[in-house]
Amino acid sequence: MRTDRLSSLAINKKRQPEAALLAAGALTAGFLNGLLGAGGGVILVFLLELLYKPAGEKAKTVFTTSLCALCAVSLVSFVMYVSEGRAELSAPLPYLLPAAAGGCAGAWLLHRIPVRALKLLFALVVIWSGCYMLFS
Amino acid sequence: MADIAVTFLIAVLAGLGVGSGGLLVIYLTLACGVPQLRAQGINLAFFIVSAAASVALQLRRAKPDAAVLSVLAVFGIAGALLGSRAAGFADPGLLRRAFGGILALSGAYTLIRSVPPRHMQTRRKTPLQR
Repeated sequence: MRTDRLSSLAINKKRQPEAALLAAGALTAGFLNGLLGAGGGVILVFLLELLYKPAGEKAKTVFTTSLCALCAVSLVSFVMYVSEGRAELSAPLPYLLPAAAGGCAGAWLLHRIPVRALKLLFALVVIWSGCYMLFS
Repeated sequence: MADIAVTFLIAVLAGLGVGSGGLLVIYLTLACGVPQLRAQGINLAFFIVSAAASVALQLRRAKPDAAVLSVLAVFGIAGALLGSRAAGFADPGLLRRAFGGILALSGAYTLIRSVPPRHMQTRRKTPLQR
């Protein structure tokens, strides 16, 4: 099986502006993740696509990179929430098994179904919900 | 039972790369009446598990660069420490509105990205042109 690697992302002295932009974006994404419990993914994907899509990196490599980073970031946010008493360790338990099963199912379906229509539907639902939460 | 079905569907969307976009927070706060901060905590745990499951499968096809991942993780974690501390001081109503604003923006971004550029769109011939 062919493996795509973000080879063009190696950071050296010539690429310090890229590294600085990545650091600033990651800091912002992490802050939003901790503050709102979600929302960092859009920033990371936008940033990685902006920097590396023109160099020919594939969407799935960008997506996997942002997911890996957000796993670590969300883990720290969750530990902070629990340690400061804003979330209970037991509260998410009923959601974890369907979360793992759904994550695997989604990754398996990724190369098997067209996702454009789903993205459109998802975007419309999210815009409506966001406006509702913003103005209600 | 509805909770399990909704959580599964949202995790499928996350694994597909469509995005989970805090959909679980929306469901928990708007449909189940769970307080905002508690819903955010549940969403974080949900995201860790669904994303880890998805990454475990994706890593066979796409390997992230270690240097980039280190930068993202180190600065992301620093931001998360600041953000989760700030969440403790923020007014829940303000958090809810901020969450809504970020959702609306991320939805708009997803919408723009999912529409192909005009030059990529193939024009279908009308019956008169055939």
